[in-house]
Amino acid sequence: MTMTDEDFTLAGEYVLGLLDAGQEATAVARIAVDAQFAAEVEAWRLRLMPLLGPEQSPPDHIWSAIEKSLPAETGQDLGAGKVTFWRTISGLSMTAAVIMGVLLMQKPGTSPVIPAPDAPPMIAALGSENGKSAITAQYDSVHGTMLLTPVALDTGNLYPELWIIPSDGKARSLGMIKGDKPSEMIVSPAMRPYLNEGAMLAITPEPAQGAPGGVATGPVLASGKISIL
Amino acid sequence: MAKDSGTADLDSARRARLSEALVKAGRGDRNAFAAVYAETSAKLFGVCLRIFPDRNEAEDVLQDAYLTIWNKAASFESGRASPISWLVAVTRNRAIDRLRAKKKIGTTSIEEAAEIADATPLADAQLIEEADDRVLHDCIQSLDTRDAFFIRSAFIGGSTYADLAENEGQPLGTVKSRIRRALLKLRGCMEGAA
Repeated sequence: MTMTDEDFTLAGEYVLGLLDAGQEATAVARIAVDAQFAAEVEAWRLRLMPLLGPEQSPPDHIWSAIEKSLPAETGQDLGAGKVTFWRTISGLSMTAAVIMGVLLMQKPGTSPVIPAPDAPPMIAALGSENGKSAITAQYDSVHGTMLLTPVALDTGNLYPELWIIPSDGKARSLGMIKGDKPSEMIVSPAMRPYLNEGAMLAITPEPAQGAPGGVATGPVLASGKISIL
Repeated sequence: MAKDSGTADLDSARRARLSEALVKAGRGDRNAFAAVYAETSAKLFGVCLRIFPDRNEAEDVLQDAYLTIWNKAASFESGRASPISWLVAVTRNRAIDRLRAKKKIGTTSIEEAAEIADATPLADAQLIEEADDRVLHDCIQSLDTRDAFFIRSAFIGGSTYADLAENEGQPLGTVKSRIRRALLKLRGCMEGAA
């Protein structure tokens, strides 16, 4: 997708720390899959960096204090280990695995910009084996709304339909989404109980009015599991 | 892209070395981590001091930031970001987390509270004076004074849209669209000058 003024602004708002927790999670996921957006975030960091100067040498005792606080020599490979775990075990595409890794690692460090909502936001990064499709989803269980941000999605002459696949393995339609720009959908109350951590979201190409009889006809273009942030 | 003094003084060889050291630190290499510290501690202490002018507090934040860097170094992707911008972002975020937590539990001293309250026109002047990048300096100066303050207040003071709207007595939507317009203007100015 071509970067719009909104994308430029969003990257700037992310760097300034102005986004709320859910938007921030979506931005983090997008950085992992969208090189153009990642480059704009980097550009904003560099643009604004002079505001965080000038350099000042810290006193010598700081380094010894840091060194003392480091954990024992072993077991420091956890971060990289997590990503590897996701890449190998989960069977997700590389892209989706990277996003999951980023999200997992972000977890302890994320700071909500707004006071914590009643329920933590659920997020999913939907990716494809070939790395050609990527979408982020962010679900607000309090209001039953889901924000979908397509990063790359090509459904040809058809239209993207979103499915939830809970642990029973049966795909249930959540409705049609927009393939070219972010959209928000209200998840029908009957479907809300299925939106839980570990449930799979998937997208298939379908006719404009949706898959006939509520059964997917197209191949899965992108999929990803829901995580609670 | 705009030339940036924060990275311009790190020539590409230094940058590559730093990138490599950071990747190694992510795998648990302490010597590499020590090299990262030696190379970047002055820059990152500058970041801490900008957000916490109190030296003791800035030193605490700096320690905290390097421990976070040690823990998160494995997530640094050298192809996606320059090491210095990643390190500065991690440090800035740690410092802002702390600043916000402090504000929330209300441990801000009277003096600090007063400082924050009237940090406005003075801080703008200071900001422009201390900005060590000519392009950023000029472009920030071309913004509306309040907009420049908003940007600074978010980036250095950790203000959220809600904080800014409340302080200004303006609707949230108004403040959001003002800042978004200002960001586009700032971006256009800096890209144009590059």
